[in-house]
Amino acid sequence: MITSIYRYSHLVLAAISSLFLVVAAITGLVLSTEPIFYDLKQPDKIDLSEISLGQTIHKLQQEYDELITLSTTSQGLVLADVVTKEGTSVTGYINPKTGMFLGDEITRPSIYNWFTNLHRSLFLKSIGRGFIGVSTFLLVLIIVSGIFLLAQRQGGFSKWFSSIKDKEFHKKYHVILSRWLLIPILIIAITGVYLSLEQFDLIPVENQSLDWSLSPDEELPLQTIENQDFFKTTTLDQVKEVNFPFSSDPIDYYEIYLKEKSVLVAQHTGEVIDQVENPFTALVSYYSTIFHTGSASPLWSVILGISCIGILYFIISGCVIYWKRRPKKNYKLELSSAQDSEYIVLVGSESGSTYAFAKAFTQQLLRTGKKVSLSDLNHYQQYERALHLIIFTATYGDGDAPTNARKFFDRLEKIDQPRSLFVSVVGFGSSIYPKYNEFGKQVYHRLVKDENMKPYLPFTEVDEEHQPEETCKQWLQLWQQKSGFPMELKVDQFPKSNIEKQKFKVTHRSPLNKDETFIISLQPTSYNDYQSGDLLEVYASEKAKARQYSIARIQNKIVLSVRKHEHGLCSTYLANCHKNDDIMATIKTNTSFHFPKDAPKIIMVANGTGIAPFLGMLDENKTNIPIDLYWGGKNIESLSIYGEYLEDAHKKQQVSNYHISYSRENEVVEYVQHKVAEHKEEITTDLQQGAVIMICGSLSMQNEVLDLLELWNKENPKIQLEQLYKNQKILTDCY
Amino acid sequence: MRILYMALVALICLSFTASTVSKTSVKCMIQMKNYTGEGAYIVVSVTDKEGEYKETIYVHGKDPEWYSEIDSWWKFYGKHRPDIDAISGETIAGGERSISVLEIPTQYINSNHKLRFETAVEDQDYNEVDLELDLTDSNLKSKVDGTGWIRYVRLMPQK
Repeated sequence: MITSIYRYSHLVLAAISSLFLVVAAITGLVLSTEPIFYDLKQPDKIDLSEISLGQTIHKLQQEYDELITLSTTSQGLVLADVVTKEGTSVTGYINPKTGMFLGDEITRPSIYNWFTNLHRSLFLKSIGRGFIGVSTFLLVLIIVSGIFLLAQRQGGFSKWFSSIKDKEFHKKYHVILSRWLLIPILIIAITGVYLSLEQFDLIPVENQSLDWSLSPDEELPLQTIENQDFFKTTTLDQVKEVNFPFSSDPIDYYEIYLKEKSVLVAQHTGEVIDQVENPFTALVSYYSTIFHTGSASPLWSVILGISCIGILYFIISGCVIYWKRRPKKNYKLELSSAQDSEYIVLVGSESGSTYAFAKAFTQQLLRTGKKVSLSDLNHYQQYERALHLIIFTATYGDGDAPTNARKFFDRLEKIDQPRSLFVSVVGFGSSIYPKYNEFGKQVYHRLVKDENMKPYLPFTEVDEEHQPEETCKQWLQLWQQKSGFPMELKVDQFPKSNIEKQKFKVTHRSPLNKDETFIISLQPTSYNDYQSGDLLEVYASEKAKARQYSIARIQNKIVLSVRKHEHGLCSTYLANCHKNDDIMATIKTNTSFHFPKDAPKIIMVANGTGIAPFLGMLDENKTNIPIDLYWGGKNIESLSIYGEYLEDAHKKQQVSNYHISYSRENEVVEYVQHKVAEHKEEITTDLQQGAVIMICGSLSMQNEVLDLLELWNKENPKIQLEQLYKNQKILTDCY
Repeated sequence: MRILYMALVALICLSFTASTVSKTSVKCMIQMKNYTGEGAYIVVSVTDKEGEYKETIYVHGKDPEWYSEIDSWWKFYGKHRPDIDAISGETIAGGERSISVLEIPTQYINSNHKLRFETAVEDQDYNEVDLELDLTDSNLKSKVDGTGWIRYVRLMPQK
């Protein structure tokens, strides 16, 4: 519920402000090039903290006829408005050490003026500024709601940087980029809001102005400027602006704006006549401008530019995500009341797909002219004329009822049906969750316990991870056969599989060796994020059941090691593949068997083709974690097809030790578990020191290795096998 | 012969324009009244005795978006919009003072022309004549009080 508040506000705020934000981001992107533009065109910088104001003014007095103003730019240059000895008035950069004129002030290209106008007021003056200001404030709220949304989907702030499981490209990068760009965008938004508030006079300013009516102390000795204390001690980096005295009259003072204060200084004595500390708001305003415009640092302006691109991407990807999640469109059904209906369709669902299927089913029933009612499971009641009860329900969380089905069991207990009913139940769920379809199962069993209720079709489980369309079609066929009603559902009315089959191109297949084993390399044809240890589910044909193979990711290709079984449909199919053939498959993330890159040491145990994921993990071992590899095969030739990968890993020191055993090579039959047993001392010490043991291959081998560990644990309780399982120090992937 | 004649005409024209361009530099300080809000747009122009605009001398405020708010001047400037980049500076906020150098064509001085200071603040009042003075030698070294956003203006001819 809380998630949905964050999600809802995140979406609504973004929808309201997106138009303005698109404009602000595009114009902001253009404007972010301005500091770089200046950086390229301006003269070289001189360190201003080493030069005193007196020194510079003294030089200027020598070089020019008349001094009007002097200021430092946020890029750290000195700009002066002076009248030259020839009597012309110029504004430009000067060398603060020599007073030399370096070049005219770079006038702001009018294109930047145009974009600034669009950026802050959309050419609508004050109204436009209001729109932009409000949108910027909304952006702050979007970021805040996004922070909570992200924390929640990651499972708390502590898991902020844990990996993102989403397979959908836009969803994934919306999250990944937001983790990085959050901070600069938040800075842009907050400073933008501040500048807007300032614009509309909503920041209280206590404007203390300098008092020009004060008279100078006439007793003080006259001094030239480079000897006056104030000008000697004030360095140029503190100076924002200097207005020179209007005339040589002693009551015409230097008006000097420093970063911290404003000062009036008498021109002949250097006496400080009046000074006013800058209010805190002035400081905030100063830094807001610098951070919002990037004028002080071309590097920051690059970050600002990237953030603008980021905002645009967030808007686009946000639209895509919303589009995919949006509720499917409704069509009208001519439903009858629950009292009149012969067919009662009840739905328990948290998401759209269950409802969509229930509706499509209802629609088909209506076409046969039957009276049908459709409602939530919560609205279960007495049905006067009902013959059939058809229930479609999802399961929520840990085997609980979905929100609109919570009251069902209560009502079921209280309500007696006047007539006996035929009951059919279909459960919808995803096998990612251990208790998927648990609620559907309970509904079915509770119903059929009642003598009044007769099962019509057996309870059917739809698994979104595994051919949900097929299961639904089969169920509909059963219904059709038994009832005699034609059921013609459109393709898009079936629940979609979470997994979409993708094309993979075969880039290489090795010939089969004596064990009928081969290596096949594949290249995904669309975006995919996967690592060694994940599973590739291969479909030998459109209808065939998927077969799983452990993936090795080597140089951005999927490498599988496959043994051809005589009657194995899929392995034979793969064995007959050639280079450039396309195969259909999906990648299934298998987080419990990923490379443990934080482990101090890894022990890998495999037999036969089980070595495949380890080949990829060796390639992934960029930090050269010590790895001991135990492998068992039939004979030397069995090993040779992996030779090139192992040699490569050996060369790069990605593997420390090999322990190879052969079952058919020598007189003695030796399996990998025998080799493991031989290294008892070493392995137990390693495990106590935090090493991770990974096992891949046949189930019988896995069991024998685990038996060994158990045995050793009995002898030596220090191993703490329970602890090892719990801390995921023992990882297995066997079949 | 004809070429020579044309060259002569060109030379005369050139010398003529050069003579009209002769300018007097006057240092000008504008002191604003205390008010809150955006910096003021201030346009300094030369007008004849009927109040018709002759020339724009200086513009405080660089954002052309707001020029149309300076009503009377906009009717004069908006028609042709000559380049005023070289004679424009920042707006001046309440309580601030600003010094600039005005380049006034000498022909207007002591010849029945006036120097007009016209002011406008975003979303606030506009003053067609905040301050005006006769363009005479004596006035060019004086202090004149404003009636709108300007407290006073001090002028001083350059050496």
